[in-house]
Amino acid sequence: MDFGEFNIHIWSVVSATGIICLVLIYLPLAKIKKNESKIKNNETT
Amino acid sequence: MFQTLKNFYHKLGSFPWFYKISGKVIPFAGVLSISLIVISSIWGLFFSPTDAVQGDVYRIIYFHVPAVSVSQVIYYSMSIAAAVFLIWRMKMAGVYIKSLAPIGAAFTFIGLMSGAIWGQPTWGTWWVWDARLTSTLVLFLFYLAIIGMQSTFASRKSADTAVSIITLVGVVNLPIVKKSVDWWNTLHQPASISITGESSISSEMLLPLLLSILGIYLFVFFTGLLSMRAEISTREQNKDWFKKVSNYN
Repeated sequence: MDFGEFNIHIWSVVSATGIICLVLIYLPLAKIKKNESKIKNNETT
Repeated sequence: MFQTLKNFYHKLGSFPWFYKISGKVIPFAGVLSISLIVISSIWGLFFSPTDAVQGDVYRIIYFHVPAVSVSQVIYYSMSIAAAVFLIWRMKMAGVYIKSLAPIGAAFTFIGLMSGAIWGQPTWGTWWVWDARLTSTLVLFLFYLAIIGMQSTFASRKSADTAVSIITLVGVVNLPIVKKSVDWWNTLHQPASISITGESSISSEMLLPLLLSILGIYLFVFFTGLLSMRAEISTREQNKDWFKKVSNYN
């Protein structure tokens, strides 16, 4: 496939896979941050 | 050797030890896995040869095959964790199943979705109820059942026990997924890659595929560690060790 060539089938798979992978990274990171900051806030109050 | 493994197994059951070690491993696993996925995707999408019959659309293989392969391996590993939980009541096994189930479901979904998008131009249909596709859909439903069951129990221990039993029931489906293309006449083709025999795919196409499989397996290792860390941070947030670690970070 040439650079710049657009194939709807391929790019829809690439973009959906990319979005799902980003969600798989973001969700646990946000959860860890939330739980750790909850402890920090409790200690300071 | 046996003693070392035994010690490692005991350490693995310790939440503070796992939290500390995973914090060190995660950055390396993340950078390595994402780099491999990016390199293999660019290689597969732009530099591997065009298929003589299917044209460019075959390049979906670089996402479809790794996703389907890892979704089955995750389920096998979850079933081992389920047996460990039921026999030895190891809490970490419960954490493992809860953390890996959404990742397994996500990759099974990617496998089904990419297969449907690939099937439309090559088979002329998005979906057929053949054995491979249906058994993979059943695998996806088992993942959803495991995720759904987590929140239906008041106690964590009961939820982990029920989920472990469901996981072990679902493992029966895995050999059916693997062997479905050999046991029945299916629209889905048989495996192109073989570990023991010769692969039916050209080496120019095979190399980026193997790299993408490696990248996805490492990515699952990376996100699996992240999810387990997140689950431990939820379960142990009232424990002294976690308060110390959180304040230190």
